Amino acid sequence: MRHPFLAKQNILYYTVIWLFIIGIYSLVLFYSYEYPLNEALVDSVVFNGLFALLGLAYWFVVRYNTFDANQLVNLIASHLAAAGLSISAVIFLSITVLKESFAGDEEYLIFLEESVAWRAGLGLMYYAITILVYHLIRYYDDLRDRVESQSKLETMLRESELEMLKSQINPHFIFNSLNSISSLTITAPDRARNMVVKLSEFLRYSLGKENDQLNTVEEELNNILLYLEIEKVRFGDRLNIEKELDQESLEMKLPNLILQPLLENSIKHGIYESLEQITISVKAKVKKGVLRIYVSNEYDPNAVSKKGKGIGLKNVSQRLELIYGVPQLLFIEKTDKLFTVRLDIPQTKA
Amino acid sequence: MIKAIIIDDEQLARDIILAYLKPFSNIEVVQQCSDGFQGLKAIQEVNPDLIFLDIQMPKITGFEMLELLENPPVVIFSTAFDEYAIKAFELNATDYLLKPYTEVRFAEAVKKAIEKIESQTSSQKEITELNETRESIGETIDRIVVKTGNKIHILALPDIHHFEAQDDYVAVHADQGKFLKQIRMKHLEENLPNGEFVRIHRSHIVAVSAIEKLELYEKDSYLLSLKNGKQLPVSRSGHSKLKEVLRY
Repeated sequence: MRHPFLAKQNILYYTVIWLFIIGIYSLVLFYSYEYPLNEALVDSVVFNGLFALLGLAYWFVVRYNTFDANQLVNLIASHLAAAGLSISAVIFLSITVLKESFAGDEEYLIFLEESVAWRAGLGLMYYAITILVYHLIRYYDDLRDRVESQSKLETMLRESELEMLKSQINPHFIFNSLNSISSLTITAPDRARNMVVKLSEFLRYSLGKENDQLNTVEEELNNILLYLEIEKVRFGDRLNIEKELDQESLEMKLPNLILQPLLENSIKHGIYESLEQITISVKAKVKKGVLRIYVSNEYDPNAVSKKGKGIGLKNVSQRLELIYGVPQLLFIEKTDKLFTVRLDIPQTKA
Repeated sequence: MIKAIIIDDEQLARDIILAYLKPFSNIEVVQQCSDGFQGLKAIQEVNPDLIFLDIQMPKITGFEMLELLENPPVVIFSTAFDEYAIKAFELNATDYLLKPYTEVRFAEAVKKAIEKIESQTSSQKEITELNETRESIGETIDRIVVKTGNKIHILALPDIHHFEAQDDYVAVHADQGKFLKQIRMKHLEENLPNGEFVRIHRSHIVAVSAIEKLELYEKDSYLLSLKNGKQLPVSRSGHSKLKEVLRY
């Protein structure tokens, strides 16, 4: 930690405060004790000036001591030593200098002799106040540091939470797609090329996105449709895709890849578990300035589905809460044939 | 001539197997199936020597389908399953293909399968080993697939009240009735969801939700009544497990 008073502005404040003290001190000598102005001024400048210089050094007493319970004896000893030594030195020095300066003024010399006691008292007060101010500064700095590091920690925590909640592309999807491509190279090379391009576009968009980056509905939906088209190559007629997008929703914003887990869910519980054709639909509407996205899939109500339901949706919900600071932005509606997830996306970030 | 069946829910995945099989003039693909139900039916009808089997499919998985076969043919798995599981299967003689795979790798697997078919070794042992390997992977059981005659039932755990050891089989008592399944009690005990099922006795595992009451019936010996009226003995270790789960 740097010396608090040696910074550009602070040394100015420090000087001004001491000039003020020097002024008061000399006025007291001048008016109350009726010494000549020059004597009052010189006394004040010498005595207080020495303390002003020493005051800067007092910082090191504070800097290198801590309020540690088992260091208490050390602390008291070092303060007593610092105060005792510095105050006696100032008194000795100033009295010596002042005696030399005004050797002809008998009355003043007597005053000097008698002033040792109250000079010591005043010195102790200066010492105490300076030390107190240093402690306050140090305490305040520590506090600010702590608040800063805490908020930094919170940001990091939030980021890592978001990182965790970010939809991760299912590796099975990639490997199965690659297998489809491999198969197409034999039977329909042109379709294989087409699928390679689609898969590449999808991966380029999905990989390496920032967590809380917002994209337009148009961009996100293009990507989602790309994903669905790739799945359609795999599942053929079993997958039917419908979309319904309000024109005004297209420019609205939503977190990147927030829809991906919803669609993966639809594929998993719709397509994977059914032998019949399944329709998956994506809708985007605007209601009172809030973007509403609906993702729904038909499902086979008789399927005894494997576990794992809910975690993907819960993550989406948490991610929305972290980004927008509003709880409950995800709604689920389930009828006996249709499973729908609705997201309400505010257009202002938390 | 070797009769083969391809069971995979994706047309393109079946196509590539067909294409890679062309050089093998001694193998004839007699049927293609897009799910485990069809697969099971086809296997029973045509009794193939070899099946190509995907794992993740609608309705029942490839594993579940295999469990229902009494004399399973030689199996080559083709799957995008993750490596952890693959490693476990590597320990088995059953071959597997990790999607996507090369024609060379495919040919290796097929050659291995042909050797096995020609040497007439029973693959029952392998299936048992396979199931044991699956058990050791420690996947949580979340449904039970059983067969009566030609009918397949998929039992969700909440429908099951009670498992009862019967010689080499386990009787599964569920809302839909009683079914026999070849499975080990120990496997059930270890992989059913914690807190939902308790092994109260060497021969009995019960669903906690099916318990009606527990009575002291002799000194140190308890009797458990189920909601369906059945009464079952509780062993000493079973009693302490019950205590733990029911927290009384």
